Amino acid sequence: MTPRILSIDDSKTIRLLLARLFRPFACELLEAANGEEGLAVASRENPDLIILDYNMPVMDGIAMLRKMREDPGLKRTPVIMLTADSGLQSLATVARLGVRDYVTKPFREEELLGKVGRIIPLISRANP
Amino acid sequence: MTPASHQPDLRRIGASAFTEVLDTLLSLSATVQESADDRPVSAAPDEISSSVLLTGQRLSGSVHLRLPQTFVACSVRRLTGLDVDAGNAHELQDDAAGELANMVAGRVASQLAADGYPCKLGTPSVSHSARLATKNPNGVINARTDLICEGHWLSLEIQCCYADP
Repeated sequence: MTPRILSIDDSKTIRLLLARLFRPFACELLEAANGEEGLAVASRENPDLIILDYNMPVMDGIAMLRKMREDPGLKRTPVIMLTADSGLQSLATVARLGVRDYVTKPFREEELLGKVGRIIPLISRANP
Repeated sequence: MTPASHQPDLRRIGASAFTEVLDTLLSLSATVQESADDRPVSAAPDEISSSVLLTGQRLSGSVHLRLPQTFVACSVRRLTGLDVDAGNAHELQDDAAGELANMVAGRVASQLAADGYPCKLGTPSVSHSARLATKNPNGVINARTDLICEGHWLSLEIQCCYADP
């Protein structure tokens, strides 16, 4: 099965960056622009990993995480949190909500790929 | 008010945050300009301004970037691999300018928190006609940093108002 990654970020630039980043790998990238949309896509598509922005309009990353943890179908889905706010308070909050890892924006691409690769297999399309 | 000697060095924080974002995200190096006085304060027609509010118990303020459109277009190309001639170029450029401000503000907030002034970030806003401040309203500290990056002149302004200690 091709692993599926759901990217949830209100910034289209970041969603396109992730699309470029994961294009060389045998995985399917899904996307949503806020937590509310993300929750709907996650419930419908059951992704193998969610890359979730912390600060978003409509429903932010923390609110979405709380909803996910109440949903039996999503509570075990691994989440990597993307955040521009590297304050200890926000990191402590996401740790309590069981995120698998976090990446502070701006990030180096290899850092994010490394953290994703520890959760799902990232196999190059050129060398399956 | 917090005594000036105890206040964070906003210009140093801004320069560090901005250069770090350019280096980490775009692999671009930038040179901090020592004097910002000779730069006009109004945004030129081909510039994009993006801002993020900072809110905390001991401090409130904002982070503003002023970026040439050609620099933002180059950033979009580097980040997404897309050519800016595509149909949604302006939307993408505004989004990228907002995201750059978000990341710089995040680094600024992180340093302010380390200095004892924790604050939260607002949602980025983008404008094509914003001005950088020329006068400080009462109690507002204003620190401006100009950078040269790949031949582009980029400006960052941090405005802070400190609560009583």
